[in-house]
Amino acid sequence: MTAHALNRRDLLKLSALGAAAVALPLERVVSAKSASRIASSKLPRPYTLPFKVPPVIKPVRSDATTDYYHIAQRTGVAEILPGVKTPVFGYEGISPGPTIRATRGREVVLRMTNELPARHPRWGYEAWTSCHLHGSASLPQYDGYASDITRPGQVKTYRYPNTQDARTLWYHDHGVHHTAENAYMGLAAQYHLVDPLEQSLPIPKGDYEAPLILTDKIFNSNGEFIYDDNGHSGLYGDVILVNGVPWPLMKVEQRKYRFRVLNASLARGFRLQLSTRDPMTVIGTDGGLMVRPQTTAQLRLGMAERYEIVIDFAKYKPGQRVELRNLGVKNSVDYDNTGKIMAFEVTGPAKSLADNAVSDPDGLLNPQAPAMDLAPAMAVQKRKLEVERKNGQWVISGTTWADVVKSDYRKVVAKPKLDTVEQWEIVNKSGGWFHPVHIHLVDFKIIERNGKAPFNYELGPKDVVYVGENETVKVLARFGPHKGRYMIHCHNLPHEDHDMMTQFEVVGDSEGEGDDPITSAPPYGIPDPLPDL
Amino acid sequence: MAGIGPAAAAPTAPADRAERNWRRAATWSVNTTAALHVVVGLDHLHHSTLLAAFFFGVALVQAGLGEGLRRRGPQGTLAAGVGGTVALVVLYVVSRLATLPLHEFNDRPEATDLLGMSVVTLELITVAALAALAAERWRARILDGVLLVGLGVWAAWATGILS
Ligand SMILES: [Cu+2]
Repeated sequence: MTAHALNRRDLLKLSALGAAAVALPLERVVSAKSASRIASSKLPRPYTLPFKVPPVIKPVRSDATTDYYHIAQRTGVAEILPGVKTPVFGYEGISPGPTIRATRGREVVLRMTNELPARHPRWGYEAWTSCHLHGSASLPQYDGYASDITRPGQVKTYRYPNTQDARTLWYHDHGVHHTAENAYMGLAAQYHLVDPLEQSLPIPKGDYEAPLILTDKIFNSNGEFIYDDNGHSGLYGDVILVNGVPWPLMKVEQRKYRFRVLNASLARGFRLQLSTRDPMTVIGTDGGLMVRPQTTAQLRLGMAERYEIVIDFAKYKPGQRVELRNLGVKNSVDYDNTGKIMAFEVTGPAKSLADNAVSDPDGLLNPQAPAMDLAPAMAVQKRKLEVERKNGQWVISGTTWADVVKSDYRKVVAKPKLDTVEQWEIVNKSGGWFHPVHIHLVDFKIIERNGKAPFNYELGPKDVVYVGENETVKVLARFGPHKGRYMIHCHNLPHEDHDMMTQFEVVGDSEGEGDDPITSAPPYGIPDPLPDL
Repeated sequence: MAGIGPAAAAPTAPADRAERNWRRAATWSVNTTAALHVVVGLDHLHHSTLLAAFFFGVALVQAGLGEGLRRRGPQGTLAAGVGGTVALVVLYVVSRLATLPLHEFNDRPEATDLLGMSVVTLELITVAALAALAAERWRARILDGVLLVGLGVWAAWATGILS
């Protein structure tokens, strides 16, 4: 008769597999979860490093209608913390990447080579990319469609029409499932579209105009970035960078300055306030100049939102320091110095007082600002989008990008007709997180936030809207100018990657559908030698 | 383990009691795992029909094994049960450490979550219970096999094959 028992030797034999099955996957989890580890002595004291702006890139060539650019996505080494080398992914190897300055009416052709390593050296994923020019009404195949990926060793040429009003855009990575890591590694930069109206207004320009690209990072002891997105809920760095510099100090003259503020963080929201509590003047939003300027003492800024703000330093004494602070937002993790962004030090009288206003003499900026003419009565269709967490996934109205992929990229949540106006209601029923929702292709007008008027600084053309905890916002958009499939997603990038992204399709009345986002202009292997543009 | 259930009413040989308890443990763990695999399958359903079908299939086979155990099927059932369950445990470990070509854009190991850990713990209980139920000469061979697989997993991890 068999004795049904396991003796010590039997248990020992079982334990090899048992220990492997329990311990090895856990070891992976524990080693991936880590906080900032670099010695605090390596971190600069806030407001000690000089302010910098990214370089403006020159076109390879220009002809009567078009400016041609070449940009390589490659690895670089940045000295973000003094004396510490940090590997980055950068457009042209730098982070933030070079600024592109485009003129309304002149097309930009941008050839992008993916010269990144086949695998991220530390995090192991394949460094495929897809470049999205955020704020541009590009054709579907040039919009950085997430699954239109350019793999390492491939090249893709993008075309940007630049037919819209002057605005602050940014180009950043949008590669499916790796947008967060790629952007965090540094694939983000500004793109300024200028036009005659904007150039003719007496608002600050040139030396008195600067980008403020805000990001937050976690540093490892060896200087590398640590990526920890807390189970895809968000990455919150303890070091705040402005244009790639931790808490910089900018010298300013006694006059007005214009800042193109962009929140390029993955998941951190900001609430800006000057240490003097003086008001800032908001002159532009995502889609360019507002109809008229708005003043505010606080400005809530979700990921990917852009605001052009004017700060007047005329009344401060030489030597006075004015800090730009972050009051923080709900559900962004704060550390010791995340309440600080940068500081301005007033040097003395202005060398020039030209273009020292916030509007034209009539108090106007752009009377025809895009989308601002829209009214609810013009909407031919009303839709509702719900942003939420379901079964451990981030979803938009129950769908994810995986659903879109599974449908062979056919599944859409809306099919607006070309050149018609629709009213969309975006609902966040949760108190646990906020979602900056980005609708590609269009500029929209925010008409309502929780049944009330939007914040005054939101009264301009937008393409991202901060949908805060338990908030419902209503927006109006005219869908066009192109037909085709475009993404809608949360701009908390770990949310977007997992998998809070879906799409809509702009359809025409009869003839043909829009260009296919993946097959119309596919990437191909980088030829050797690379031909002239 | 002894003394659970109505066994206390009539005098029973200790070996029988142990057999009954191991059988209960095996049946319970294998049926619970089957149910959890249905949950896993539903989780995958919205993005991959193939993966969902795999987990539903596993659930079905495990439910079959549970039924076989209840009916005191042949010794071969036990060996096959151990083999299949060990294969699932190995697949779990591999999927958590290495990137499987599950779909076009898969780029990283699966996340280690509570559901997965519960399933694998139950499966380890199943393996132990099935081994205990086997006749002694079968048991030695089965456990030697499990040991070899376990050592193989550790070797693959130590040499970096699994990473
Ligand atoms: Cu989100």
